[in-house]
Amino acid sequence: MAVLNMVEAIRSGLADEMARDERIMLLGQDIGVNGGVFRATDGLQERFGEERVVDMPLAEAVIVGSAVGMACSGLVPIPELQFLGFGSQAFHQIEGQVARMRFRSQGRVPMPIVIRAPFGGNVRTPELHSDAHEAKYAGAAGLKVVMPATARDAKGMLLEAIRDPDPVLFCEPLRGYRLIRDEVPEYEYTVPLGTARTAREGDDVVVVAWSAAVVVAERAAAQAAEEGISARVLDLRSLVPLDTEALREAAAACGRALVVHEATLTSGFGAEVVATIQEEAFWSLEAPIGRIAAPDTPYPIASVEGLYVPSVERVLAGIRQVVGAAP
Amino acid sequence: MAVGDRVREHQELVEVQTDKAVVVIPCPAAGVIAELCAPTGHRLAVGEVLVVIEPDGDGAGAPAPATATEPLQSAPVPAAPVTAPRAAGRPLAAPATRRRARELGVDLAIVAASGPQGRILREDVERAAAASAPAGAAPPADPAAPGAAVAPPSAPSVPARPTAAPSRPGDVVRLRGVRRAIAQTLTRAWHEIPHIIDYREVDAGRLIEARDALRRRATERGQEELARALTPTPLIAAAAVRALADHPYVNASIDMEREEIALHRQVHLGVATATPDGLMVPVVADADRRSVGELALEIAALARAARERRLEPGQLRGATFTVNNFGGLGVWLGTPIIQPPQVANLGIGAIRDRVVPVGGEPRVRPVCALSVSGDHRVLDGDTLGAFVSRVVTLLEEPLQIFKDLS
Amino acid sequence: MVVGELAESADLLVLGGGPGGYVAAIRAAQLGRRVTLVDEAGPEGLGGVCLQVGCIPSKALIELAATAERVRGMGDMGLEVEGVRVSLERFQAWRERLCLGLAGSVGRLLSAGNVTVVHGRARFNRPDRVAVRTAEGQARFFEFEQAIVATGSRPVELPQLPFDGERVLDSTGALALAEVPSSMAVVGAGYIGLELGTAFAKLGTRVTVVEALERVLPSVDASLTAPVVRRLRARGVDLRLASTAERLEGGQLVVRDGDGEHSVAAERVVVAVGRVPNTDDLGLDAAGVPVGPDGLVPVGDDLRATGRVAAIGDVVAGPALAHKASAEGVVAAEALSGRPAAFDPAAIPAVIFTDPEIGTAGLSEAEARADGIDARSATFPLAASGRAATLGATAGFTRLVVDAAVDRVVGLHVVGPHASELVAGATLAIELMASPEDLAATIHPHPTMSESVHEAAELLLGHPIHAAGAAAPR
Repeated sequence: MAVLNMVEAIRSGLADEMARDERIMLLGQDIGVNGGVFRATDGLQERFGEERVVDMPLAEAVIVGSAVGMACSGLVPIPELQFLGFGSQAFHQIEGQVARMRFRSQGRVPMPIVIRAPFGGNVRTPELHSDAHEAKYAGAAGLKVVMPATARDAKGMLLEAIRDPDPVLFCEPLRGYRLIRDEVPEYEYTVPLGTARTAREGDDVVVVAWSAAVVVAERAAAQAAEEGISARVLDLRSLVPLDTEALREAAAACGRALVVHEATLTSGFGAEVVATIQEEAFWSLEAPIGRIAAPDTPYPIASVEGLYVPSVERVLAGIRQVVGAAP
Repeated sequence: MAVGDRVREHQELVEVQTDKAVVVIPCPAAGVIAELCAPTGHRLAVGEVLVVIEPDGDGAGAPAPATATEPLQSAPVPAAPVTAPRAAGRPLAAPATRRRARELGVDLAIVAASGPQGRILREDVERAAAASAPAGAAPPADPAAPGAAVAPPSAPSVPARPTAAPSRPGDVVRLRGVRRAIAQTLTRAWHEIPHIIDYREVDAGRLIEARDALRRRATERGQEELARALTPTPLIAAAAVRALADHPYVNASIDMEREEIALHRQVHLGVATATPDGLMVPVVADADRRSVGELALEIAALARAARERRLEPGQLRGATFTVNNFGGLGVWLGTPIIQPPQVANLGIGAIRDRVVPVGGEPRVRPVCALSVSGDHRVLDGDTLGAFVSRVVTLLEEPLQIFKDLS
Repeated sequence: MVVGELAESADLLVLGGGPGGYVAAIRAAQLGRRVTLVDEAGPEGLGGVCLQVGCIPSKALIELAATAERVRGMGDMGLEVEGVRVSLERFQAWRERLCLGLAGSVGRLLSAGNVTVVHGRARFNRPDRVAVRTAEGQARFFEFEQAIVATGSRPVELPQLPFDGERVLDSTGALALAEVPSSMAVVGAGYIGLELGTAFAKLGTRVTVVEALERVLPSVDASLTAPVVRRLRARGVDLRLASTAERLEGGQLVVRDGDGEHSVAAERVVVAVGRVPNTDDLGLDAAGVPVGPDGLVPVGDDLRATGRVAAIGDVVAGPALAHKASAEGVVAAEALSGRPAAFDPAAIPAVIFTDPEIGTAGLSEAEARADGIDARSATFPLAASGRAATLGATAGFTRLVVDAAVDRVVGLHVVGPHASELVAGATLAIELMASPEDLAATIHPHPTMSESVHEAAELLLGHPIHAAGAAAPR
């Protein structure tokens, strides 16, 4: 197995799938000649040609809208939004067309589209570039929302998403592109959507997180262990479909739960997780479920982003509070 | 000792006061004292020569008197051989030994060296590590033998204050020696014992009058030491000891495993004392059989010994009841922590002039605040309160103390 | 396009690939750490000042100059040679291959330890992050768990004689000369200045040494410098003490002393007046690492400056020597990896490749006394050494210093041929607390310079064999 960072794993996944399936096309800003601003598509145009790796204008609705037409016509397009925060420009296409085309056509019109979108903060990008908008898309019925936290999962879930007949929003943590490195198998493998992963074992409290927040949760759990608190970390990996069974099992086993996400608190996906846990495991709960999220303000300037994005310290404080430990 | 004196091996040669204790150094060899290198009271660096002893020759064949200028050939007695001689501020240890000491968390400065002339060997470090591991752990209580109870925070067998250097912010200070013993004992005390605290204010006017009278009498008789020792503490302690006779549950210990409360026959009085190493509680044995004067002298002697690090471990064990005068620190009401397995601790606050009603009129009187902690498992508010009331009565009518004790 | 700072992760980040940094990196890798090493000079410049422009090339030049001189001077012994010439041009080509080869070896050692080497200039911009401007002009960001600052030092520049790479050179420039200059003024009589001055004097350059202090080599005991000064003067080196270098005037350097200004010939001027730590442009404040007014980073004996950043080598207090940096590198790597480690040597040896060489380990007698030690010493003159006689170099001595109270060796000070090779043994004796009896009872091989250590020990004990009539220990 090779140790890859997340952007290398994604590039490798794109290349493997494009070699396997000639219908796959990439569309996006700066992805061809330039190779992608984050190098995710570096060398792919050279290898697969300008007809399959297409540079698009700075117009998200056009990028996604073109992909809709291609998908309807039997291709497998993978459009890239340079930042998820700018996806609002394409929201009509995503929510109004991509998400519901199969439902609307009773399955007759295919939509095997995968929209790739980097997102998230703590990399000194300004607002919009840093925003975590996953919950908006999780509410678009018909669209799957995938948020891997490891390089291995990024590649395995990308392959699974490409092969899935449903449309998928594939969210990639900007901060993790180079920071997250782990072992990625060299053989072909996929990771099923809708299955959570236990990132760390523990039985006093379960910390539920996804994408880059998983790394923060793992560090906080490691520090909590030094204080004698055994914190489990559950990496949801995909929000839609949601692994309710894993949430039920973890909450029942630990009796206490904390949700961590980078998005703002109000209407964040954490609310959905809390609701699911209380539906599935209410009688196992020993304490109110905690939430650690960004404050309800737009993303701030870089010099204070460390106070905005959930930090190890804040998650640790949340763990202590949920287990009733003295601060 | 003087030059020319004949000495035997192991004979007590000299008393050396180190940072930790006063140590009597036995003579390392038989012979004749050829040179005393320092007068009494002189300060010597560790490693300096104290005395040169010539082998006891039979007269004519005796070697020429050795001088300090040729110490390489003589048999010098290094100062304070119980600790490693220091050269250039460093304990003498080879690199691998130093590493082993770091691994074992042993401070080389306090390792007893067995190598030549104070060289610390690897085995010395390992021995020190083994010795310090159980240090400070209190021996189990033996409730069947009242009075021979648990050690309060006591000096561990290896004296282990890290260094004399003051700690700076940012330093991490290892929990060792007296500090560790205090931490362990008080953690246990605070975790295990449900404290109730009885706070009282005592009119100390007559107490001070009695103290002054006793002092005058001692001075008139030329008992200067006694006069100095007669502070309020021994008087209050004497009142408490007297009151304990009528309140056996306060002079007691509890053993939760055996589910027993032992009521002690004698009063062994612990006296909390601040020392440079931390809080120590030396014990006046059989305090109930001593006069106020004896108590005063004994408490003063123990406090001095504690401050000078001369206490024997035996002087720190076996208290059945403790008094703690924190008034000298300016404290009015304190929170005495009970040393398990004791069940009470009498705290003495400052004596201050206060306005109090006397016969319906405001008067300025010297008032002493007492805070007496009791173990609620043994003592209820009324039993503890009855004891404290008796102490207060004795302090306000101090003649009763002497009636029974002197 | 704003794309932010996409940091890469580095478990342990080492800044600097000199003898401190690369040793720390390899030790940390041995302890299972994932190590990234950032060095400004890149793979071909690994090894730092020591390997590239310091110890290694200077010793090579000194060896060349000394050999040339010795060959010329062995007529008495029967060596007949004609036309010994030195080509500095060929020396430079050889030196380049030497340094490249050694840098390659360091690179291979690092890659064998899976250490990632990044070629660029690093700067902290957060407590847990450095920005690296790479040799290709790109910015990379590394988020580290822990870091070791091993960025070394650089020569001090004199305002009146700024380095220009042509006339006014630092030691690096002097070592890179491809022609032997006719005259050279060396400013600074520390070990770098004297080593370079001696080497060029041996190559035929007219050398003037200008020193502001009253004596040469202020870092070592004055008695050790006398044989060196005698040899310099005998060689025709113009030694100007208590003098300052003022300015260049045509082909001359103007020097001021108590009598006024003088001009000395100076085709080249080499300024070697000290070194400053490379801590001023590292962004250390962003990492919360304090820097003293002297540019040094204060550290504890585990070499940590903060919880996660350690500093070693020339950027921390102590002599700016490669072996000290390497020893600290090992300690820092171990301490940051959770091992109990501390830098607490009994002695840091130092060697100076003057003619004759100087080697020191531990305390001089005066230093020992100042430390409150009952110090005794014995000095064995090399005139009584057989090996020194065969080398034709009997100037100098070996001096042993002991702590009489506990009967142990605390210092060895040698001035004489191969002095640099004698101090390692003495450092071992100091660390292992050997007594003078231990040294006297240890057989030293004949005929070597190491016998002088043995003789000094015998002398100290009052029964020397090869120093008849020598006084009892003083």
